[in-house]
Amino acid sequence: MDLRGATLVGSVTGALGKLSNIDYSGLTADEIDVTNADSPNSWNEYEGGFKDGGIISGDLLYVAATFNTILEAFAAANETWTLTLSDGNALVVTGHIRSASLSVPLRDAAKTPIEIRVSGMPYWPSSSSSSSSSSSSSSSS
Amino acid sequence: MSTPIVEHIALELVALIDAITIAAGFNQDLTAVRPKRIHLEGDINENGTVIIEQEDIALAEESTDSIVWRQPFTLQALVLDSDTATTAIDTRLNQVRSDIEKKLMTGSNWKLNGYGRVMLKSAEKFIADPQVAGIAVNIDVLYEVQGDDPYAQG
Repeated sequence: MDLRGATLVGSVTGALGKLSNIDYSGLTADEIDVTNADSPNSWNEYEGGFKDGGIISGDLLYVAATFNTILEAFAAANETWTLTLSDGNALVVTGHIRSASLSVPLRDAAKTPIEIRVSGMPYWPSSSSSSSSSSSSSSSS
Repeated sequence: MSTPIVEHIALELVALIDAITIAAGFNQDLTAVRPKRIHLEGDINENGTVIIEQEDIALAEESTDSIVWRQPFTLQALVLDSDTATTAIDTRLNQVRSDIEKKLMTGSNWKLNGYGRVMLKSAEKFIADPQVAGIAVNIDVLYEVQGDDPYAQG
């Protein structure tokens, strides 16, 4: 699978077209060090803490109207962003555009890289059934 | 039938070369020729002829909606040697090359009427026949078309 056919749409901002690259990274959890004198065989022990939804980074080929749209949406209130891939699956997050830039080289295509800061839990609808079943099994136990 | 964007670009280059005239303030009159057959350019021996040849195209950038192509062109300007010439052959080659570069890059000509962007790349002297020298001006044209339609700008 590649980026062809993918779309990135904000519920308020609308579609950001001409995507040439998308990265979703930074999905991390704080670590709580629970190592203690009784830790088995002197191995450090950790537990998961608060989770971070990460950042969606995208490169867009420059379009004047799109860049204006990005500026208007910059650091605005959170909205729902949907990254739909060509296989039909989608990453749905709440977030805002936290950074944008304009790159205009002399001998290459101009681009507008952006970053969308994810707030709260990212949602992958195609896997919702498995996550809900695991949560129900853990609650039943 | 509509015209592909890259063909528009070639036609724009032809028009620019043809506009290099003494009357317009340049050092010589140049005439653009696009070969009608493979290797036909070898049969052209007219002073001031500029053979416009397309080279292999390369993908410069691709997005979900459009494609940016880098299309190289070679503009081969013929300068015939002459027993009556009083200026150095290199002087004449320098003038031809400079006239071509000036015409391509002056004002907004480098935008090719909105179809692309001209980027100068290199120039090389060549000798085709005993009496045919020339200067080849190599350029790239960067242009964008819709991902599913090379006839429409991106």
